[in-house]
Amino acid sequence: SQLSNQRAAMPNIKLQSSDNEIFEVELEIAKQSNTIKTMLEDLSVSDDSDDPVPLPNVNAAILKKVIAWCTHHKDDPPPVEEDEYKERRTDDIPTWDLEFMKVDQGTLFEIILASNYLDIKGLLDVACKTVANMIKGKSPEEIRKTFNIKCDFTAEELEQVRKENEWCEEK
Amino acid sequence: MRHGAFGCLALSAAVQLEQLPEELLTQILSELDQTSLGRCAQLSRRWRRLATQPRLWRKIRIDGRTADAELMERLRDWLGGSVREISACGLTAEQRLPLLVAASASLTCLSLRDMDQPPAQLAVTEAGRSCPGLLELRLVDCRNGLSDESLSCLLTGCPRLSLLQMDSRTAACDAVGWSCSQQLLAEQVCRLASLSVRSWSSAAPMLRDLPECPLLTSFATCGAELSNLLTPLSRMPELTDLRLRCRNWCRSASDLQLLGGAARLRCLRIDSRFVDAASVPPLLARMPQLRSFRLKSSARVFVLDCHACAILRALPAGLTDLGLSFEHADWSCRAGVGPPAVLPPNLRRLRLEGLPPRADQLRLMELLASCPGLTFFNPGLLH
Repeated sequence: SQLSNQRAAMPNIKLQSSDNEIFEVELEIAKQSNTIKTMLEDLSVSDDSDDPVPLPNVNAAILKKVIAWCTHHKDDPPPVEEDEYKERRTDDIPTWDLEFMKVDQGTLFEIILASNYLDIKGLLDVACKTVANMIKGKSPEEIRKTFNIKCDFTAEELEQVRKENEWCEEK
Repeated sequence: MRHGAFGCLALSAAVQLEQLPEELLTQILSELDQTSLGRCAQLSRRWRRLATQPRLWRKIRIDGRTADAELMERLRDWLGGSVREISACGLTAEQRLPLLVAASASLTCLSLRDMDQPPAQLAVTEAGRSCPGLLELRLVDCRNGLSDESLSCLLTGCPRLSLLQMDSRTAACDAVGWSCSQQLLAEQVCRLASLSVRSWSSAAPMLRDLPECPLLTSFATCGAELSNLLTPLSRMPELTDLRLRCRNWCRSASDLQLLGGAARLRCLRIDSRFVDAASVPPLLARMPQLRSFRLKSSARVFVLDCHACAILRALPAGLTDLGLSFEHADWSCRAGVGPPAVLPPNLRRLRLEGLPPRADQLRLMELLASCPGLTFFNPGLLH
């Protein structure tokens, strides 16, 4: 009965993952995804509709993570349209998000893909910052190793790009 | 072995960084600074192409130890149209920074550090000629960084320039002073919102005859006696942010109370050798708008516990940032520190250093508990 009370107060919608799992979510939480928001507006799906919204690009495991993030951040102020040129910093990730992002690389990249597809700016930002933090402080060889990147430079080219980027190093 | 093989299988099934669309890889790269970007450019051909997109390099730092004229030409051709901030350190004339500046029409910030007269002046002149959107100019340890010519170029070419910093941390730069005309400098200063002059001896003549600066909201200087500053400060009617380094604050504090504008200040930083702690509470009482207050006393001064408590009690209600440092103070305890202090309710940053040995008198735990919004206080405080 608690559930039905909640429903009366806060309309829910159903989301269907690529592997056909259905998640029931508060409308306000789901609307942090601009993709879902637009879908609902375009399709003029009424709030009490029982048809699940299909999300063919997101599997259940990742959708569960995304919903958890959106639930925790449901009271955040809406993201500001920021000047594309702003001070970039990756040391400002909130503690809860840091914990949330402690997942294996595959999951992290899938969260990035899902948040991009669902157009959830806050989640995409924090996930990209997490990857950036995994790059920071590492040598090129360490970065290649961490992310399984194959070096296709010849030895000669490698020496050239090293020289070319020497000026970037902090002295 | 089996475990390894299994792990490998799992790995191959998972999404890899390289599989993300380039638009998302670019977003990740956009979170990186120059050092990390330079390393990503060395990973592979694809990463080199991604990491060298000009839009990722809006802010660059050039060091005299790794730069040459060839690099400057490369930067000009590659980033000239897009770079917004250039920080250069220790460049000589041969390294030809003006080449790059002349091509950087979108430049908003130029910082020069540790540069000699000709290269610094030439770069500033070029900014005046080629960078109409320049907002900030910083010259740190640049001897005679401004000439009459470079200042004239700035005045005509950079109407939006709002921050000028002319700091020197070495005595050598201080002694030489500035070679530009004080009148031109004053003309520039009264168009600024923010001025920092870390060498009082060079700035004094210009500041003495300063015209009204209706836009100036932030002012920092070093080495001035406050009594000499009262006149210039009276010409800054909109000042809200004042940062001073001085030798002796004992008298200065009472001087500042005389200052009409004190009631408007939102940020006050004082770094002094000698601070008379007793002079601080009455000063704070005159600054109801203060949001950020930092006071540092570096010499061996004599402080009473009750004065520290009185400072805490006098803090303006809206304060969000507090720093008190009495690192080499000799604390003395007098009976009765008065009623317990309550920190301002919106305090978010708190840094206390060199507290009295009997810090329990300040009832720190209670104090901290009274600030639910505190997001930073210096670790080691609660030994």
